[in-house]
Amino acid sequence: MLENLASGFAVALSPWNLAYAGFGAVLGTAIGVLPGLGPPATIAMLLPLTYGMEPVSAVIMLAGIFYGAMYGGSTTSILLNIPGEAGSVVTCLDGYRMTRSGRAGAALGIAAIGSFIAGTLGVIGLSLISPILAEFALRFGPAEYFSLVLLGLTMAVYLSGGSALKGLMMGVLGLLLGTVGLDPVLGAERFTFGLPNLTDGLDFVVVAMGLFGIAEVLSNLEAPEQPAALKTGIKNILPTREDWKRSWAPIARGSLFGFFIGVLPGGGAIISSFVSYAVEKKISKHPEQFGHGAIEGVAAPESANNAASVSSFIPLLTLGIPGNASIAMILVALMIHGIRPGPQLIQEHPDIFWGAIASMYLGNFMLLALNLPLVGLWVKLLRVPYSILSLVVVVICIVGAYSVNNSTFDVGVMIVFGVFGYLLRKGGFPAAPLILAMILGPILERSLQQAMISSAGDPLIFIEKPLSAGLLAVAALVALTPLLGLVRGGTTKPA
Amino acid sequence: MAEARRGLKSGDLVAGGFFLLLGVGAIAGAIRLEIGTPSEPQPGFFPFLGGLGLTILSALLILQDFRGRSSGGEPFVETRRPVLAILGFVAFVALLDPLGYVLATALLAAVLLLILGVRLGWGSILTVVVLAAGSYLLFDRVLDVPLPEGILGAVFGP
Repeated sequence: MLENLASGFAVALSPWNLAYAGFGAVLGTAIGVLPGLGPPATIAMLLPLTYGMEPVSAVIMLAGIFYGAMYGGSTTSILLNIPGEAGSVVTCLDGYRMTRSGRAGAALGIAAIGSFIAGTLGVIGLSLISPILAEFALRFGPAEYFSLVLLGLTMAVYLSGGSALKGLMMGVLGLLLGTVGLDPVLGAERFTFGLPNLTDGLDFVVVAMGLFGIAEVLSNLEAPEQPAALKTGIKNILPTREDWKRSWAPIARGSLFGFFIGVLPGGGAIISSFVSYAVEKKISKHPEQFGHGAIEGVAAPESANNAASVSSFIPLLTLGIPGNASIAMILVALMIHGIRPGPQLIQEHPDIFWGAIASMYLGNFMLLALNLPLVGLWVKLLRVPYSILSLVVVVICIVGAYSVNNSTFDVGVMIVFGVFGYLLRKGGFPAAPLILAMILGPILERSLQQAMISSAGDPLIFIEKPLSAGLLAVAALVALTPLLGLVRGGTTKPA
Repeated sequence: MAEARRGLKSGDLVAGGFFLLLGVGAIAGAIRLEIGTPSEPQPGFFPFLGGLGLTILSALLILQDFRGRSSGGEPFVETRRPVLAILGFVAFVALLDPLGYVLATALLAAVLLLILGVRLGWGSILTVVVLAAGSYLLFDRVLDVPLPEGILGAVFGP
């Protein structure tokens, strides 16, 4: 394994790949700071740029954006009480209190250091677990794979928050949208309405730029306000001995929670940050300090969201299943180059697998260096007027959509999905399950058909194979509890 | 507050109805493609399952709405600006090929700035010009992403 990692570092340390990792980290921090722009939108917008790149470079850059955003997101939570990313919402509670009592420096410092430790621990876990998991998954037949994809989608729907029913509807709609174009098995045209532009199906990049980029601009248009500027100065970024004594255990526990929750599809940064905050508050000797500037309340969630952002690469790199919208975009970047991530990735493309992992070790160092000394610079980014930012987003989306096939038709499709995505937001329908299902749909369909053909049409094949049965049972358990209205608040909130 | 909630509820009803129609449409389309049997699935097999699922789930959402359970969503704060922007986007798509990238983008940028309440002045005109022409030069000339030339291309040549 060390040999493989060494070859990965050889890939990641090439000047171009270092530059791509650095660019991703800087851009990720920037969009993490800016509240109006999230990682999925940014990654979708940059996808067309990766067409001409080496696949490993594309993954290195896009991954940098994704985990870099977790660093940047904490900055505005702490300084301005505005979470730059959803994974940093809980950091506002104690982080902003610390700023108001003049300890902004310590909060920023512990957030960056905790992020660094958790990110690095996460990458170590990723390099240890992934090869084993991939090896195991190589034995999967179509029935097991079908059940696994179904479980992944179900979990992504139920853990992504909001109404489970609506998430499920978006998942099914995504599966249907994935069938547009030529049928993968028999080659029949489906739902193309006679339009030649739809023969190749709806392009993920175009749909994602609409759902995330244009929709974000539209919903921000409703209340285009500038966030308040920072008034206090930032000093003493390095934590004191006392800060350390209080923070090291929360950082360790946060890393652990983040890592394991991040592996689950749909889990990731948001849930793990809430869970680790709740755990710290529960086991603390002075829970009354939480919400009033307890440093543990910054250290734990910030560590958790970083560990989670790293470990969410595990299902992608070992099973080919993306757990959230950003990771799905990275999957698309690989598929554009004809690479289908899955259990074979580690053997067929070791340069991509180990190169991407090695770049994450390096990226975490870069982010620590970028975030601690330059924090004042990042806050200045908030002075960019929203009007300019939104225009830039619109222009990049337009050029990106046009460039996919050099056609205005795709720009129109993007606008349609932009408006649709805006309405979905308003109606409380999550967009992430839609894009995940759209990408996984063709895989799900193929493995369903293969399994059915191999069993001569007997659907019991999914239950007769023990592993497949187990995966389906978990999926059913996840799916049924909220539908019965027993557990989740989202669907059964009293009036 | 009560009014906002009622607005949200009927929102679920509209969405449920829309997706119900979409689901029924998908089932109809799948039947036309032929569903086949589980052992010999035809192209319509998978879309049929999807359409069926969407129809059932949409019906559940409508039912839930009638039973007075809201399931989230945000009220519209302001609809004028997003609606104007959507109209601007639609016009942009219609004008992109005839006018070309630079003119169409400049127009769209000007419209969006007006919607955002930026006053027309030298600063905003400069922003529009720099954005439209600059992005054209960057993408079309430097990064080799060919963009529609439109009437400017006819005037200035390739």
